[in-house]
Amino acid sequence: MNGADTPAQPSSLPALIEARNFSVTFGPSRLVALKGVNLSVHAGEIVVLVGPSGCGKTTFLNSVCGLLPPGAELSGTLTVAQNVRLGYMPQRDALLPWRTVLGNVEVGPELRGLSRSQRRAKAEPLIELVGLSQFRNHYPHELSGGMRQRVSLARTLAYEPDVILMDEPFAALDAFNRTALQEEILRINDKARLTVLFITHDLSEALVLGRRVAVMSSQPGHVVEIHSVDLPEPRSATKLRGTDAFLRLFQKLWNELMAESDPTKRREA
Amino acid sequence: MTRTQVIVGRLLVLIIGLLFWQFAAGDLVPGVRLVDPFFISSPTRIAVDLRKGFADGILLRDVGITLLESFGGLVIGMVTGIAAGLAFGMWRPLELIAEPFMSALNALPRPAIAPLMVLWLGIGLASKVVLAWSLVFFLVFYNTYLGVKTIDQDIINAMRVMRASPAQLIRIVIFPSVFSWIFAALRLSVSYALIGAIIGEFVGATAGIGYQLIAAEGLLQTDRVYSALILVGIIAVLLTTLAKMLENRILKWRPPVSV
Repeated sequence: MNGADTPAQPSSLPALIEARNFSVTFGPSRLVALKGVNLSVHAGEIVVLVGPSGCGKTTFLNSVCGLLPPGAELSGTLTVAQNVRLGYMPQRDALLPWRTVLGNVEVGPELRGLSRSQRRAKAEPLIELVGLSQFRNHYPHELSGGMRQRVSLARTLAYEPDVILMDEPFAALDAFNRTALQEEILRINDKARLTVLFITHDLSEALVLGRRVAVMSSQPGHVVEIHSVDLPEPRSATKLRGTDAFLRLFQKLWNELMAESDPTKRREA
Repeated sequence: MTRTQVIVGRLLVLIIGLLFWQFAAGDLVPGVRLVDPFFISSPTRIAVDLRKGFADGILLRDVGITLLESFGGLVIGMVTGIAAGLAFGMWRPLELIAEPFMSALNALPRPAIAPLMVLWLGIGLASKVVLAWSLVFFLVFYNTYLGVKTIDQDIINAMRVMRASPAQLIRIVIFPSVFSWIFAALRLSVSYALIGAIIGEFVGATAGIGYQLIAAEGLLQTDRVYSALILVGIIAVLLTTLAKMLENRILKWRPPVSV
């Protein structure tokens, strides 16, 4: 059952993003970046795509965003529900260096055409939420990497997206900040159900954040298996990692990834 | 080093330099001199000449004219340079077709075209403004162009995903981003404008610091040559300091750069 959606997903909510047998081929060399991907993201769930570098995770995300380079050939279907606002959080924070923390967070509402006072009203509580109130008038270069990524998160939330696309947003952070930001996402998610498509190469991050985790493998990029992650809620990034349930899942997915990346043991497609 | 130490150090260098100059010209210790002051003048001789020049109003008038020419070239150069830079950076066909011509034009040595400018536009203000413009334009043009080209693609992508309209993209990302490059060019532009104006005055003029320089050289008035040179130096330092202050004020979001 290669790349099929497991029936373990009972979501009655509509799919906001849905890929059916979706493939992407690049350039004159006809490099197959993605092959037959089946994956959906429903309202109110965090779906994580996990896999080694170069397995096509980012290609999938860029397909959803419409950021594929010209010349990419697509087949199958990839539908993004109509009028869905997409938020985007890349690995590098992509903040505007000439704007303060407040100014950067206000970009979200600004793009939606809200007035100056409305922008402020949206931005202030979110800066508070990510714990940067004291730094609201600082410029990005005055902040640490972790703080900048918090600003980026607040900016994304301020845009009030229906789906947030995160492309390894914490990969460049040190272990401490990475865990702190995972905790932040879980905390915010407990308050206001987020819909997230999260990409990472860090298996433990995938299990901490994901309600469903899609394991990907490369050459060509495809979804090996989709797992429902039934871990106790509310989750905590720090506590979860020590639990038996977590470790068992980790081991299981790890073996799956290893089996896929070892060519001698590769299953027949 | 503390700021005071730096300033004291600079003053020391200046004073020692001036004293040595004065000594070499034989104006410090009577009877001892290394070079005839006819060639190198001396600080006190220059001071006397400057006072005379300002007293009869000649130098003040010349400073004013040179500043006017430079300023004209600076303003026109900034405006046209920014416009051309944005056009090149945002419209690929123009960039592909016209880039080599821009490089070729920019490579023309200005002293070589100065006589042409004077021939076409006369010995008045216009030829100097055009020469100042010809230096400022390319500096601002290339900075603006690079500014557009080097905008962080991650920022553009994030904005695109969040459905920024082209107008929003220009207003929120492209303009502010290019702005910093233009300001970085401003400081250099100020001295380039001055150089352009003075080159023009060398070739054909009836007033201006450059005219004073070339006239004094012709009459072998070494004191006046040095006076004019020192004036140019002082003006350049004042203007670039001003530009730098403006830059630091407006670009206060950047990490501080020493120099």
